[in-house]
Amino acid sequence: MLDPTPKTAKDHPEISGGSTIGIKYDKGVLLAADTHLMYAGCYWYKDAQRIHKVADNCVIASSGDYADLQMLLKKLKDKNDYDIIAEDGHQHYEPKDYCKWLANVHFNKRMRVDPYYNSHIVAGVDSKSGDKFLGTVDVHGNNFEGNYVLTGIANYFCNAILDGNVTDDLTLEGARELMTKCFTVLYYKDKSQGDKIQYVTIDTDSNVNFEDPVTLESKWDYHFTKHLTNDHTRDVRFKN
Amino acid sequence: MWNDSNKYDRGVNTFSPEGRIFQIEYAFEAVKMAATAIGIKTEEGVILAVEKKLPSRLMDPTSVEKIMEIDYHVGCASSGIAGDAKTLADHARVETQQHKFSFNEPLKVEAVTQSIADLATHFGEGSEGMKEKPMSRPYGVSLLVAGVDEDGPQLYVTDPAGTYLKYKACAIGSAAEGAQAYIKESFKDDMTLKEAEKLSLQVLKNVMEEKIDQHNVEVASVEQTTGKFRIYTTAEVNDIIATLS
Amino acid sequence: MSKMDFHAKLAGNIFKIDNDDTEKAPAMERGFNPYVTNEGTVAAVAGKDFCKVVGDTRCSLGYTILSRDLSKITKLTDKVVVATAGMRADAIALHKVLLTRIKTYKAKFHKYPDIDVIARMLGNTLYGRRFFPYYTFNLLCGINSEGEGAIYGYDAVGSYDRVNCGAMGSGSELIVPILDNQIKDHNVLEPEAPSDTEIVENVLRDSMHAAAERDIYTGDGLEMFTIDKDGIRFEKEPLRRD
Repeated sequence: MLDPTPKTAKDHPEISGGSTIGIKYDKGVLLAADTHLMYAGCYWYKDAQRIHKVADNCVIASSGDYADLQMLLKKLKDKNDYDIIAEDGHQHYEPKDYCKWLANVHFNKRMRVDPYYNSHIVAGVDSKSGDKFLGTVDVHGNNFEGNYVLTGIANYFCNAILDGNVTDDLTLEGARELMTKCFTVLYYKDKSQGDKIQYVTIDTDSNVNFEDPVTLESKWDYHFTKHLTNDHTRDVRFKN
Repeated sequence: MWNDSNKYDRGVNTFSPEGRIFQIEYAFEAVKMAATAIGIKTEEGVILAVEKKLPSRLMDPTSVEKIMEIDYHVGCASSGIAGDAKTLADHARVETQQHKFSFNEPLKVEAVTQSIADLATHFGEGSEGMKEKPMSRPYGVSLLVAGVDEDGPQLYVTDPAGTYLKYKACAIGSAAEGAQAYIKESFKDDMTLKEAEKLSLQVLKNVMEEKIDQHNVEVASVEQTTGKFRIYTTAEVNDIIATLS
Repeated sequence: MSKMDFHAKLAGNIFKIDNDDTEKAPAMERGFNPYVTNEGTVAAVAGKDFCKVVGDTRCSLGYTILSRDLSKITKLTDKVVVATAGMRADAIALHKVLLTRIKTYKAKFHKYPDIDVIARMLGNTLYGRRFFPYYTFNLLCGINSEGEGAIYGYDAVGSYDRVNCGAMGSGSELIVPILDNQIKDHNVLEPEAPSDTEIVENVLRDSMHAAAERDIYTGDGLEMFTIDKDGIRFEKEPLRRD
């Protein structure tokens, strides 16, 4: 018999994370994300990890629905486990493969009009060739690689900072400086951006380094934040 | 009462210890008893000729359909159980049309043959209640598949086992051996289509028990120049018979 | 109906069933829309014994550029490429399906399909998704079995036609009139195909630069594929990045 209730799908993300950024530097890839998760416009969790290791040489950073991400991480873990359990002396899945696989999963879900509401940055180092990999996947399954990639609202704010500055001889310090600049701008301009940022590096020797989150330095005692600068234009004034 | 051979001859899915499937071999026997069919390939095209066995002079010979068109560019001549031949030809017709729909080009002659051979090997599969249950026994028929494609004129022969082979000229049916010997003597690589027409009917004439006339044989050709399959009219057949020695 | 309206309708009709005929103020966007457009432009001209195809390499989403270096053109066989504007994720999936079907064809028939065969293949593949279309606008370009340049143009659901030149994507409105004007005898039934590769190349290059001047979804990089009896050649050059 036909099920009388129509099939429903989640039509927007619930608890979700904001922007993430990935930058290639000369000896590896730097990823960063804040540690906040939002729900209904509030900071719901303030110490969530949004960058995860999915294999010895592969890390993903994700924006969007956190429950969907946890589901995907479970699938990714299964995938990596099978790869290891095979014990055939090979690691079959490279970062590129994880990226493509994630894209296929997202494309499949969007075809069912019941998508995983995430965009990911997949970063890593190819275990055979030693090449750096940095790619991104979005909710529709679109995916591509780049010297730097962005997810979320960073696409609107950070292209201008990074474009042209991410060169082949960029050092880790240089990359970190750019990254800090990006997140500072986001913190000032995006209401949903947190100031606790976690940096993760993965270098060409496949060392994955998850750093402890750091708090962004920010300055709020500007004149315009303290004084109503447009007082004289107002017809109706509210005063205490 | 039970000897070695008929212990294994009932199931179509069972090999005998000597590695034979008897039902397939019996299907070959059905072909060996049937009226002869001949195919000759030349550079100009392929000729198919068959003998029609007419059990009664009251029967309308046009209703014995042993040569069938599969697509514009391919046809087949059969020897064996006529109903099985029609099933295989129908299958091939569907395949060629489907290919034309999917790819906007005629199906290659080898692929036509392959599709026939595929169906021929699918006997004994499936289960009751299936929408289209495959045949439960091997097809008791051999086909001469003649056609023209980008590789030129070609002649293939299929058998009940689903094997298919490419020939320059071939005879199947009850007089296959004798006919094949005749063809081998007279066949030349640079034959014209006219010579092949004549040879095919000459061979039939030699192996047939009945006296050959335009009603008890059927001739068809696929020509390289037109790329088309065509069954000859009785008048045309008569004209060829008139030239025979 | 403008092209964007058509796109919106294509995407919207399938997922919003609304039997109410009265005009209503558009409701706030709710739910998941499986379609986005990443646009970009591709164009091609078929010559007497060659075919030239150009495409930009920008991939955008709304007013943001997602990538400045994403190819829209995929090589299918030694004689055929497909150039696709529209939604990237769908285009990638479509190209993958085509490559698989061509591989299957090769295994079955021991030859690579000619462009007219691939043309039907692509038409059927697109129509197979008639009720959840690939949001892609394709030009299938190459040389046919006679060695002539051939282009097939498609809509999203697979109706197709052989043309002697064409453009697809967000810059197509800017390029089509240039091709109409510059490619000889465009509006006659049996046009004479151009035989000078240099003229064709310049027309296509200039068309793309023209589109990049005005169309915000076109730019960054220009890929030019040349297909002739010697195979497929490929060049890349910059396009304006603003």
